[in-house]
Amino acid sequence: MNAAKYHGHHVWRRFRRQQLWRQLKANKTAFVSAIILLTLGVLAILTPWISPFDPTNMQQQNIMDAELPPFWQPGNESRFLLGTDGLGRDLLSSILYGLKNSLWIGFWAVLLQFTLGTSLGLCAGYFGGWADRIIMSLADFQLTFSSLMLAILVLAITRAAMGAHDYHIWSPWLLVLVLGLADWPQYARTLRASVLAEKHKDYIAAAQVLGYKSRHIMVFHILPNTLSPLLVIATLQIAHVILAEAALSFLGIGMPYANPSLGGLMGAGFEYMLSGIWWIALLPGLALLTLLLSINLVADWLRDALDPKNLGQRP
Amino acid sequence: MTYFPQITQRLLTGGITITLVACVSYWILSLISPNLALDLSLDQYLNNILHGDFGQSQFYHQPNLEIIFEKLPATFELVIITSFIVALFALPLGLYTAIAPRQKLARGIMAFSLLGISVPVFLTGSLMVYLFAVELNWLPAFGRGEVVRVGSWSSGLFTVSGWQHIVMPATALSLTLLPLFLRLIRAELIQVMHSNPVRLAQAMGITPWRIWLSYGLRNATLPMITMASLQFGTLMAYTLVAETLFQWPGVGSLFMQGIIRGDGPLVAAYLVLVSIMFLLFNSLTDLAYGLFNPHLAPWRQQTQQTRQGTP
Repeated sequence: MNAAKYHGHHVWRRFRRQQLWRQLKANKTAFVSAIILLTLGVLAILTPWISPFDPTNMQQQNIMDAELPPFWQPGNESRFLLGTDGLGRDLLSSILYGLKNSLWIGFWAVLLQFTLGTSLGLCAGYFGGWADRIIMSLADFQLTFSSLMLAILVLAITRAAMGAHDYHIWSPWLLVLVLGLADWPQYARTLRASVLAEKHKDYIAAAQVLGYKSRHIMVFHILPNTLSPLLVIATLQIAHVILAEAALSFLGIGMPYANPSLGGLMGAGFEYMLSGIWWIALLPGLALLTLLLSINLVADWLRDALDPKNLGQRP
Repeated sequence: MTYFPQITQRLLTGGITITLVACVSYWILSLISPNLALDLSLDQYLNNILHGDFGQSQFYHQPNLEIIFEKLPATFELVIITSFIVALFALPLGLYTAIAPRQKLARGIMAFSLLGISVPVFLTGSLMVYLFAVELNWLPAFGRGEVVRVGSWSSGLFTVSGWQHIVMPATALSLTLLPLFLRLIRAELIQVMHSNPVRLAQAMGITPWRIWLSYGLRNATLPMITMASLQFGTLMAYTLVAETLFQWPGVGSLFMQGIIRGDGPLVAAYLVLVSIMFLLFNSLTDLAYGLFNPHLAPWRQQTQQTRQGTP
């Protein structure tokens, strides 16, 4: 008796019916970027098995191998396909591990944002009244701060308070927590608006008459029909979180240097760049750019595909 | 005198916010340098701040306020030049891409803006440093160059070396911020262009240029100001990253150095000062609202309400 089954057009059903798939195939840019994104995702998952070296393993690094150039430059060594960084770590392995770390943080932080924003937005829209007022003023308050600035301040101060060593034990989790808690209002506001439009429809009334609990109606009846814009926001937010993580690691308050991330590699490589050794900073930057660009392109397509009227606005 | 309650309300909320921030910064001070906080109670700290005494830096052994105000001109000049470049390009390009979205050039601009959103400021900066400073040796890679003191303000805008130094950081920053504003202006203008007043104007045969400028752009100013005020934090964050990258001697890199050196008093003072600036900026945007839309002017709202009350 799931009323949502007979109403709306939620995302998975559209994908099963191959509407989304056909739209994806029709859009060349989106198709290519989806394939690139998928490849990067598979690479990230398989990293521990496919990467030639383990950059977290100190025994595999030799300072004599430091600053070797990538394979198309003179003076390379075939062991290190993309050269080595200033500590003699293989750059290709570091980039793969960095990719994995970036996607890992992006995934968990966005999951946290999504859960928090969605539950608060559902409650605000469905219950209305004081719950709505409190949640929405909290959202407005949060929106006046930039999430990146907030993350910089919080993480920098935590680092100063804990000391560099202790901080870097916890920093991956802190990154997920801070980036995950900072950006929930977007989801909540969007969802609240759709819930307000949805909750007076007949199928909700039917579900209420059938005696379903509020929680059940919110999660199984309203949410599936209001999911599309949330998915677009979530996809964009993955790119945003990865960008923020890279910026934080670049500043030295993100991932620890021993556990490579794309931003951290760039930050460490920048000082070598002034002496002409560009690959330590720029190759991870290229990987980051590819990742972010493909996510943004997929998100752009997803927004057009899920929302024919294109009412969604980019943050 | 109708706007008196508005100002009182603003002052009150501002005061409460700053007090709260000061309490938080005292807590942070006690976390970073516990021994200092032992000598200083919270009410002493608040009292000192109220009297303009933000404590002494542990590293520089100078008053924090002096250090921060010495670095402030560098950040301010960088932000001003960046905003100028962004405004110079974002407005015409946003207008153009909104009016002719299907033209090849407009599509190119939009593709470029998508690329720009995906490139972090430190990647643009690194690329530029490698290209223009290391390979071509045209521009200096870091620092601020020669500065001229104008009163207590040290300005880099009066020397050739100063301009050479500011080119790269400002360009890198604007390349990151430009796509954001460009897309927002475009989205806003497209909405305005499909609104009824514009359609009426078109039907009445008013020239396209006049419609674009005085109907389109003017109606898009308000959302743009909202955007600017919401993006203030983002601007600060990106400026901080760019300052660290280019070793620009501004407040952002001062803060990061303070963090790395564990300079508690400096970090705490920075937080309080930044929140004061944030509040000032918000008040300024509210005033700008009034300037562009008299309905929303703080000094008009009282009369607005009474008018609504009396039929």
